[in-house]
Amino acid sequence: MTEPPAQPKDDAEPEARHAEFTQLYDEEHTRLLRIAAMMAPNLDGEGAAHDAFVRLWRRWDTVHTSKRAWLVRTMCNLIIDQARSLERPGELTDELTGWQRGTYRVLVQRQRDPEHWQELSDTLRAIGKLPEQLRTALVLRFWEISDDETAEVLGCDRATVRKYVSTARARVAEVVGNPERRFAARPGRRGRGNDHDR
Amino acid sequence: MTANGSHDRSAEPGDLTGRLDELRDALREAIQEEPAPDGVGVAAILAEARAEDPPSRTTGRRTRPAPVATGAPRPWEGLIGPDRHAACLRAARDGDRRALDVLVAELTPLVWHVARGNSVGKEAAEDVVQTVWLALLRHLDRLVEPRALVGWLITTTRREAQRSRRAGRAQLPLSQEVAEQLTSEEWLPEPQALMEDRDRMLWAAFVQLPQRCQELLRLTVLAGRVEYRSVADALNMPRGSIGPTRGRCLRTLRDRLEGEEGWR
Repeated sequence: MTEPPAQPKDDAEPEARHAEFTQLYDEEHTRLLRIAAMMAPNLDGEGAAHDAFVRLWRRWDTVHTSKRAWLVRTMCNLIIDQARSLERPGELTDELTGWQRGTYRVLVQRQRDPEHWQELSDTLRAIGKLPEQLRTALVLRFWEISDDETAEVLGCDRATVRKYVSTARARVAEVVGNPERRFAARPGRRGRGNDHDR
Repeated sequence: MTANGSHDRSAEPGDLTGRLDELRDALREAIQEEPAPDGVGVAAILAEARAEDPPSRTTGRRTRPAPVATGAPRPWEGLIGPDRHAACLRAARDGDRRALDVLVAELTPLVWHVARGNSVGKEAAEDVVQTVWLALLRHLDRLVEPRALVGWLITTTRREAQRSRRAGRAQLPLSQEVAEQLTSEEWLPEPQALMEDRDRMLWAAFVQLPQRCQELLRLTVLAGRVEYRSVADALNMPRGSIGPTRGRCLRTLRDRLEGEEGWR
């Protein structure tokens, strides 16, 4: 329509805009980090989140739909960019170390029970292997982004979001919920932490 | 999440919801909410967003001014915190070298800590500090929000540290020795994970394989997604023999495992 102001104006009501932005940051920053950690534990989620906020601030007046959805979509795109540049690595080392280790990094710090930790890592990995749309839908639902906003992020409608989520869950369950893979035949192993043989 | 019990694990094995809940708990714990509003984070974002403004708004008319005489007043004197830094920055922009020295002297510890906090080694951290100050010199005119200087420094340092870390990793030539080292440090699943019986057996058999086989399997199977060409380079093997050798190694591994009691 009309030429939108690309940049927040300097003197006009900067305080209010500032406060709004700060509030959004305080409310959503952690959530973005968590979303990123789940979408791609091996990539620089912190950087992607930061860049998304920078871009949002520069377009603050032109984003009229949900700002949170805008942030999430921008961050996801940045993550995808990062993934692409990793895809064709110039160096062997980065790929090797980053890829394999990355999935573990987030959880490894605090999970003490190894078996349990393994399960969570497997789940995380299974999510990471989902196709982009499914993964996004699942992860956003997971971190309590509304279906409407997710629809905005994905550029589809709500019904499709629901379908994506349930397909994604089914696929993850197929991998991590498979009794054979999980050695579930042995009773008693599932009690956590207190009945280990060492 | 406490170690025992807040979740009932008696649910059927395919219970995805329970698992996802636990995963959420774990991630919440790993990535925690900021205890207080993160003013620095916001400041850094604002500083960066403004630093990238079109030049016409911020730097249009600038030419570097003549140096300020040493006897000139020091506008930052008596100020503290962001105000002091802002005053220094403005003075530095106007060519006052002493102001820049003040900034460097007072804020280098901060930059240093941020660099070290991003798990950069000591020497690398020194480089990072240098680079960051150079970057500030280059961006002196473009930092529109002098009060956000500290935020800008932190962001820049964090990025530079990450860059340096990546570069440092990439620079290691993947010689055989390095590959072995990397492997034991980085790629082996946590030793605890071996507690799964099956894993334990698998790894036990794996480490009995010839060193060469282990490496090859680590590179091709565990790391995944790696081109054979790179593997061939890394192991100094003809590319065409990677596939067959890999097959042979896997067969040996399987034979060993099948000799084990209780496998499957």
